[in-house]
Amino acid sequence: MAVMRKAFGGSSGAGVQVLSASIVLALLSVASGGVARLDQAAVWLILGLFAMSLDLMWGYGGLLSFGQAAFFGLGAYAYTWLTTDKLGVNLHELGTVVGLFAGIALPALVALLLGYFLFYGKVVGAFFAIVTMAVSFLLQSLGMGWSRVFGGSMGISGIPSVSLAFLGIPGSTKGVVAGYLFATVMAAVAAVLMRMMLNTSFGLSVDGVRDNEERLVLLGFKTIHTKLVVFAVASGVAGLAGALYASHANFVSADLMGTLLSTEAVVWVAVGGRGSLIGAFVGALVVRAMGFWLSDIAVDFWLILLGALFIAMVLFGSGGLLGLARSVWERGVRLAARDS
Amino acid sequence: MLLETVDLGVRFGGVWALHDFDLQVEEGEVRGFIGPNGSGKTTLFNAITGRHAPSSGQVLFKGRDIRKCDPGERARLGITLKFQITSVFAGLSVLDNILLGLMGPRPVLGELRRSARDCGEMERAEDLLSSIGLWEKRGDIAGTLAHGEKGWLEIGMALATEPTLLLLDEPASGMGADETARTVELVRKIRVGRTILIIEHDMEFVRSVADSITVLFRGGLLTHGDYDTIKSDERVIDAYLGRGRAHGSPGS
Repeated sequence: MAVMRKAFGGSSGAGVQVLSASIVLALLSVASGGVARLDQAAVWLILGLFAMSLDLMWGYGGLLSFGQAAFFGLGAYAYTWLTTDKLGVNLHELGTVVGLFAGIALPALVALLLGYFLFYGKVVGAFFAIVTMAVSFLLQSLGMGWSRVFGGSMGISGIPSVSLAFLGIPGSTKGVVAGYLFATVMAAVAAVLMRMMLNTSFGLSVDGVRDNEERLVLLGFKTIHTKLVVFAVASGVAGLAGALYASHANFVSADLMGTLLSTEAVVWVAVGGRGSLIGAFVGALVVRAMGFWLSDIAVDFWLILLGALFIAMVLFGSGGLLGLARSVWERGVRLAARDS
Repeated sequence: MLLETVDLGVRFGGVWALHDFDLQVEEGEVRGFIGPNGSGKTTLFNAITGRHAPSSGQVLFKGRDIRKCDPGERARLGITLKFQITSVFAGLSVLDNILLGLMGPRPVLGELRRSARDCGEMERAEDLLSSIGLWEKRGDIAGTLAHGEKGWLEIGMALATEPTLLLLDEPASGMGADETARTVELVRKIRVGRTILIIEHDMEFVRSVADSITVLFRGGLLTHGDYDTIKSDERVIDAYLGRGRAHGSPGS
């Protein structure tokens, strides 16, 4: 146990966890549907990264956002605008890499602006959740209506995949295997960077904000700054996931900014377990994968099951699947220790 | 003069919870505040720490009017509070609670470059934890501590910010005799070089730690003086027990 804790305790542990989950998913996917199934699985990895961004907000910062997809979608559009002729700034191959960074920067800036008004306006708790949901709905409606920029109800297609030619790596990440590997690496790197941030004393102040913000204020902390940084970083990570999605699916639409995806992300994090990053990642994979396989059998049945799962997780603790796995593991260890 | 209030008043709707309140506290003083429930003690503390905006009058800290400063700014000026209902970071370890106190006033982005645990502050954390008697329990989750220990932890956190002015709202409330005695000892130990204001119902506690006592009644100042003067003041006895029953001692 001590060895395991050491291996998984540092910042790199978060990357190892993501890699492990990705390998398991790849094996299951290939076993069930051949290599072509990885194309679908890569989307789930990207959504897993998106779920981790919400976990950073909710599980660590204590800020429940019902509008996280707004930033996912903005990231996807930022990437799209720099790699297609939509806005007349097509940077082609270079754009695919610049687009990834823009996919991080644009949502982060929007979050800073939005957060400035929300946090200084003392919008907290349920009100924060409602306002973020409204922002998500607003952007989705805007996207639907403003087809010259967002593609309207048709969306935007023909988006190129990220090209790593500038690194001397030939070809794009369009291939099924290349796409899966790229999504895995990006999710793992983002998880490590988030974990590194959380391991600093800034991360400790994030814990403090979640746990008891008033106490923190009276210790002299500028908690609004702390929340702004968390909101901006989480939105940047959500945007990165969005940009990766645009690169992988070669298609974006206003739904990517919408309330359905925002709500789905909350379900993933709740089901997977808050406050560990990997729980949210696995939550997205499990829910999406189960949905994929079970909806073949019965669509309605799956949604009812998902609803029941969500309610069960909300009622019986915030640990989620990860918490469940952990307590089963610990019980097993205790039993083994007693037997020996 | 470290702290001064002039004609301070706090109104909730039509009720003045505190009115025309003049207070002067010298640097290095330990001042006790007593008064029946609802006499305005906690309201006074809240007006000093900035949790309530005064409806009238001034709060001067080191000669500067701090009415417009929010609680965070006042904390950075050196005013820190231990809440009446103990308020620690219940989900974090005892050590992390203290580390948060130690890192308080630094800018957010500077924190991104350092680890919480090896920023050269472990030594100070150890000193503080030893002085509040919780070094052995540094790894425990704060929420699992006993009531008294939580109170000491909160005092330790407040001390970590190196406050100029420390406000303790009923530091011994809900504590047994043993815990109260340890709290008295702790306050005596930490008063060196600090100015401390204490609200406490336990008169024996106030007598043991405070240099002088301010008595509040119905939102106003009733009287001020040392323990013996206060104890024998008819008005204080009246305030606590009501007219016509002028026997017994305040707070008993």
